[in-house]
Amino acid sequence: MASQASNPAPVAAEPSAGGAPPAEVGQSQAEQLPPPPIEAILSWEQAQAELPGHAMGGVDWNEALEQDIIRPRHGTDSNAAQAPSFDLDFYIKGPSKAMDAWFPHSAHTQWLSCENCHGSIYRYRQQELKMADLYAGKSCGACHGKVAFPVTQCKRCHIDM
Amino acid sequence: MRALRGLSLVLGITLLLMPVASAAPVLGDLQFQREGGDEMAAAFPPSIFPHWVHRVRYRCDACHDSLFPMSRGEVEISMKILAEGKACGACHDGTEAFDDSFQNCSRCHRPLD
Ligand code: HEC
Ligand code: HEC
Ligand code: HEC
Ligand code: HEC
Ligand code: HEC
Ligand code: HEC
Repeated sequence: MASQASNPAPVAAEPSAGGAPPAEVGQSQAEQLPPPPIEAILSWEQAQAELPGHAMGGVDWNEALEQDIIRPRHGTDSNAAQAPSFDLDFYIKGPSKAMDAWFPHSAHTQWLSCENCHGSIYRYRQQELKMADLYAGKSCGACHGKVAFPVTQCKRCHIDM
Repeated sequence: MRALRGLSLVLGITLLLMPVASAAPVLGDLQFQREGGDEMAAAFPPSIFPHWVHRVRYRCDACHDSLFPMSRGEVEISMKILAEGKACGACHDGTEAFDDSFQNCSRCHRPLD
């Protein structure tokens, strides 16, 4: 990734004096850059070697975004509507402080649009969130354990446990 | 075409297909299962769907929920539907990703490894 690090992406908010046309509204930087080298890989063993691991096991997908190893697109249409990034991160209250669950909207909206959760899985507030539902593959468990990191990695949600 | 809510028969076929699949499954790798089982399954397995290959390239909302719900077996998927440019066929058209020509059958139709 060194080559990319030495060639940082332009900051969209600062149109360059050199006269390059400003980025089209609705197009993300991910879609202007060429696909990263990892997209040439189709073997899990090789891909896994390129992707950062998480201390508790499995791939750390948000770290992979952070390190610019992957640049997942919104779809096949490079002008597809952009989901807004959303930094409302908070604890969901548990029976005790140690049982609070960390819910970062920011970590999710890098992958998901609001409608993926609000509508089918969650109302906006004050629902009864319980571990039993996660274990049953509902609530957070609709994704965690199936595609996102598993429910057994308690401390990624219960940070103070 | 297929339903996951299916029968010990389907389960039997699955076990037959991937005797060691439980060893180190990749999180999010799926194999479709066909309604009522499929006699050809051992020779020509149902399609797989590896999430990791796709999430390296796309956000979840590239597919969910416009092309697929976040669940299994709720929508019909078949070669006919692919050929119409729907479901997997929205991308697997020979341009965005490999298509359903004969050299490619076994890229989708293979046991989960
Ligand atoms: C994907 C995030 C996530 C993971 C991983 C997770 N939890 Fe939870 N947990 C929650 C949420 C959300 C709640 C409901 C709000 C609260 O009580 O904090 C909860 C609640 C709880 C509670 C409070 C009582 C109850 O049953 O609702 C306990 C105890 C608990 N979790 C234990 C665990 C243990 C032990 C693990 C690991 C095996 C774990 N959790 C993994 C999200 C998670
Ligand atoms: C991964 C699932 C997920 C996604 C994606 C998601 N949310 Fe949420 N959202 C939640 C959960 C869980 C809560 C907490 C619900 C509760 O407390 O009962 C929440 C709560 C909220 C709240 C209420 C906060 C409060 O003060 O109580 C707002 C507003 C909100 N979300 C807006 C959005 C918007 C806007 C987006 C898209 C940019 C979005 N959410 C994407 C899961 C999600
Ligand atoms: C619609 C799918 C979906 C739902 C529902 C969902 N998550 Fe997630 N979550 C993800 C994905 C995808 C990631 C990125 C990391 C990954 O894939 O392993 C993620 C990441 C996280 C992270 C980042 C932690 C880290 O170490 O990277 C936390 C914390 C988290 N989720 C907690 C929750 C909690 C708590 C809930 C329920 C209130 C919830 N999630 C519901 C899909 C979901
Ligand atoms: C992009 C992935 C992909 C490719 C390539 C592909 N298929 Fe499929 N195929 C699927 C999916 C998904 C299904 C629905 C699940 C299932 O039954 O396996 C399916 C279903 C089928 C079925 C079940 C009956 C039907 O018509 O749906 C047959 C037979 C089949 N494919 C044959 C083939 C043959 C032969 C080729 C090569 C010429 C091929 N497929 C290429 C993904 C693919
Ligand atoms: C290229 C398309 C595509 C992308 C991108 C994608 N998915 Fe999926 N997803 C699918 C398909 C196909 C299925 C199976 C649907 C079926 O069986 O009907 C599925 C199923 C699921 C399921 C149900 C799995 C189960 O075992 O019950 C979950 C949860 C899910 N996806 C979450 C996600 C999350 C979270 C992301 C992003 C990190 C994501 N998906 C990205 C295509 C995609
Ligand atoms: C949003 C676009 C998109 C959708 C929808 C999509 N794919 Fe893909 N898929 C791709 C791309 C791009 C690749 C990488 C192909 C390449 O490099 O040739 C890929 C790769 C694959 C691979 C790996 C092939 C290999 O040789 O290892 C399989 C298997 C696959 N897709 C099956 C499916 C199936 C089955 C569906 C529908 C259930 C589907 N895909 C839906 C874009 C998509």
